[in-house]
Amino acid sequence: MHEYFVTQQLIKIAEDELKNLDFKKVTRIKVVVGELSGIIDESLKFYFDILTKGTILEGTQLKIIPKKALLYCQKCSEYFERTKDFTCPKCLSVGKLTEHGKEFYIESIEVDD
Amino acid sequence: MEIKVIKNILERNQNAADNIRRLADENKWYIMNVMGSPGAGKTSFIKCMIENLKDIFNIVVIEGDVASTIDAQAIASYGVEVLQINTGGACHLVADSIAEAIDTLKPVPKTVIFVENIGNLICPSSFDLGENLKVVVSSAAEGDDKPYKYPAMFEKADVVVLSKIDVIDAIGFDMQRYKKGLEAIKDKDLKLFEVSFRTKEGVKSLTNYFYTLLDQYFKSRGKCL
Repeated sequence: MHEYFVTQQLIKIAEDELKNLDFKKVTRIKVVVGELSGIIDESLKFYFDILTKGTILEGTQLKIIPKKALLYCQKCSEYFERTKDFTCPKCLSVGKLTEHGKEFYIESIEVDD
Repeated sequence: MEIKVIKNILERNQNAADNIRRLADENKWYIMNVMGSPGAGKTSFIKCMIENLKDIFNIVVIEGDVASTIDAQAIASYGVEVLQINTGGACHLVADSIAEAIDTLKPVPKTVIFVENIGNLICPSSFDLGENLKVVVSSAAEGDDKPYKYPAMFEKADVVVLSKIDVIDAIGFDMQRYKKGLEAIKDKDLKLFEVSFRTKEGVKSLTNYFYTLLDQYFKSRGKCL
């Protein structure tokens, strides 16, 4: 539900980046969203469409690049995808959460010259 | 043309939080961000801290709620200064609103500032408020699967207070499963307190922990400004 607030921030960053640039139209914004970032893609898109009405970003496609959460097994020294109870599928010991899956950033903005 | 950006979307909130942290350091404030589900016992935790520590430390409270002043009134009746923030629907507090609240409260140096966040286990974990400590109050009544379902919230916690332990037997709460989940998530030392604010079980060791923590913090900051 905090997507309203974060979408405002996202739009602000994009507008700042586009300042002083010469282009016809903004076509696409790529946003990386980790599985554990707490951000719901659909809500982000929903607010993005509403909040960009009447701005230079109106009609821009919001492309979400999802990132899976990876846990790390110290015993096997390997990363694995999140299981129901964080158990390593190989050795069954408990894995640790890592930074993989917590991403939430704008990767790039595409414009038509 | 593609413009590479790679910019953290929560940067603005982070900047505001960093600013609060700097102010808190200068003024020797200790800020505690208290998070957890609705009804987990966040207000009870704060009330318990006030009851047991208000004669030793100066305490103020920032109450976050979607609506109402129910909790703020309950806290005010304990004789400490409290400021209510109604978010009007937003599911978490942001650093900007904490900065405003602190500006209004103008706490004296060496004050403990409790911030009661909005009740949920998702959104508040994403927003740094410039706090010194994150406390997650998680009630046994919610079930033993919460660390698995809301890992981000528990991972960020410095202290986990498992409340309502008096109902553990009645609802079949599996303590081992709960602890296993916490251990998987947390890299740092696990600080888990098992309490019941109703029967007062575990309250003494919880209070002692916070007394020592705050006493050491303020002592390390010197006797005068």
